[in-house]
Amino acid sequence: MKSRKFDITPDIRLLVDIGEANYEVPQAISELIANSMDARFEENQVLVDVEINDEFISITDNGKGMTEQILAEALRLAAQMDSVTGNTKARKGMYGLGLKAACASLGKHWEIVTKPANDANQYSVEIDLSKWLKKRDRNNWEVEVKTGRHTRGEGLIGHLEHGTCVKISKLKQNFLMVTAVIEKLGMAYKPHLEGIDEITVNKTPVTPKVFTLVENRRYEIDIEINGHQVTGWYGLDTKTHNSGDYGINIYREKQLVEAWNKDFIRAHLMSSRVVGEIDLPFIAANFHKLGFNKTTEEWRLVKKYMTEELKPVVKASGQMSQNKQDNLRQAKAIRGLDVALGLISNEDQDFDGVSDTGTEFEAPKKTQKKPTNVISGNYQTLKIGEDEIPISYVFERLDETIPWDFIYDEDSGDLQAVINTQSLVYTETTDVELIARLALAEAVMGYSIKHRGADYSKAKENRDNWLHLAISSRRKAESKS
Amino acid sequence: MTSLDGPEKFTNLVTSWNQFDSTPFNEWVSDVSDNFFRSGLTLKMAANFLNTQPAELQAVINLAALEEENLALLAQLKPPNTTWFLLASASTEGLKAAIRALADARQAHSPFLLVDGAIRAVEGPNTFERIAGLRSEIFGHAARKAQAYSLLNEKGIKALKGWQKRVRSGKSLTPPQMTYADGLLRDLVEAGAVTRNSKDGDQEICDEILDALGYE
Repeated sequence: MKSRKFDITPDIRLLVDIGEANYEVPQAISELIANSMDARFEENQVLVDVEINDEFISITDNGKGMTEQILAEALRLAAQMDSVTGNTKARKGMYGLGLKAACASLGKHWEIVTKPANDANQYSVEIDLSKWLKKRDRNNWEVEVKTGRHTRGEGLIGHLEHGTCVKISKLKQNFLMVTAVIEKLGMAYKPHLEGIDEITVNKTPVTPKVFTLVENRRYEIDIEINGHQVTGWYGLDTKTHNSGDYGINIYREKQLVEAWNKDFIRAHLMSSRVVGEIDLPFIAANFHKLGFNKTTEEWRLVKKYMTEELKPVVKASGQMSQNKQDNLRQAKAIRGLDVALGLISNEDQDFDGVSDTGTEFEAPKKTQKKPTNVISGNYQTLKIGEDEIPISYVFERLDETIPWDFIYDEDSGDLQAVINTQSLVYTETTDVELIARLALAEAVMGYSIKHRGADYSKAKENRDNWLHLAISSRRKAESKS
Repeated sequence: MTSLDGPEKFTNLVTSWNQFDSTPFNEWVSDVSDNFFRSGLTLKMAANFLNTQPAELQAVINLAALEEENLALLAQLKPPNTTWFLLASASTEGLKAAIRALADARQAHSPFLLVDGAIRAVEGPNTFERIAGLRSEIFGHAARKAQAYSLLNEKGIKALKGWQKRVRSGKSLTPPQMTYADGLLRDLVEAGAVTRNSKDGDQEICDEILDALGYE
């Protein structure tokens, strides 16, 4: 058997293409800060200064800096940095891709200047992706590291004794939201910011994200899964979140890898008070640290255990949303949660002198049932040709811009108007009776078009006729009574 | 980061919606609701993608909020969509009664009315019907109280006075009026004008209102 060897060095275009990663600007900046945190000098505080303007984005840290060789290696795709630096501690960096992917997703010109401690020199690299792509040799991955004497107070390193500055210009996006970056970093580096480290963005200090929890109660998570410890907490937010900003923030080595994960709870407005944070150092993040590798056995087990762990709080969240007429619903939900978790017994429940013998996890009494906002009315039967369509209506909550809508059941031919109690048409009008008739008339029209294939003029005729009948029957009924 | 990017957020929702016939009803409800909330779409946008009415999708979302055990009761049944809002707000006993009624009467003229009747037979009068049963002077008193506490707008106060006359003359509130009355009376409760410890010498009336609204 013959064999030949081939050089499979990738095309230099890969350095550009890696910037097509799914990074948004805040995430890319966050990824660069991960390197700063990994570069902590001895046990000192890490200070990161981010500057953002229309021309460039720079991230400067007071980390231990890089030697000439380490800087060159840092630019290698998929570099095994631990073997180069001799590092033995856990790091946020995993694949040797973050620096390049983040820089390339932010802009086309990168300048990295670094100064190690106890070294009079600073080392720098400049990469312009436009020029990089013009290289004739498509296998030429060489980068030029410049060495120069560091003059204190000058250049990108400025007054720092040691540290690194990454400056990206020729930005892909010119409209940068500083507030979004601050918010993202406040969540992404919360564990660091609650400790000794500091991050500033355009001189504004980033503060760790603060959760506003019902009764300020945090429930600790400390469970062992297959020899690994999962730690963290969960609680109930004082507000529901229609925006999707609820669920569990998952950290790995103190860096946020997945925000608002909902794999352990049912994604629903009713569960949207459930918030929390866990640390999963033993599960690998995916390439761009935009999530975890969810195909592993470890993840499957974490999901199973966490789902079980969060069941009581999901239930409590739902109960707080349902029993809006109950002034004690918040206190009850929390006590119910405490009972479910075995933190208190049923007898311990007391709500400011109001006794309540049942727990929140028992079936609600009939009189305490959640408020039904369904109310029905059977107006009359709609006759179109030979067909007789029963029409009814309900009052419900829909998107506030929808005044009313309809549902049609094809099997039984049941037509139902749904009047939205959240719409301005409803809230600003006292004649709800008229609204119901208008909604029914619109249902007749929508039904005629969608389910009977009527054209607009025919559907409008059906609507007008029905509305006329409905209003005249109302007048007759009123004059009789 | 957890909301899906790209076309996945639409396709997952559409795929789950289209599995209505092949999936147990409770699982279908959970899947559709889950994919809707993960998609980040508005109700109207999602309904457009699914080629359905926003109200129908909202009814599914409401059903998904049922306790798991209650939703599981519907596993073997595919109730008509006009009953979904009713089922979503029913108690366990109400749900069981509705399921029995639907199973017994395979071809009801109106499944909605059938289910409505079955649930009411078990659960008794709902909040609105209790409001409709309030005495005429209660509406008048609520109107005076709203004025004294500078609550509600002119329309609301006028409506309460109108219902006082209506009930006094022997007429009952119409269903739409019941819903409106519910909102107005609830506003008075939330503003503290109607409480269990009223200092205005009207405890009996306050209690009647609170009982009708379902407050403890």
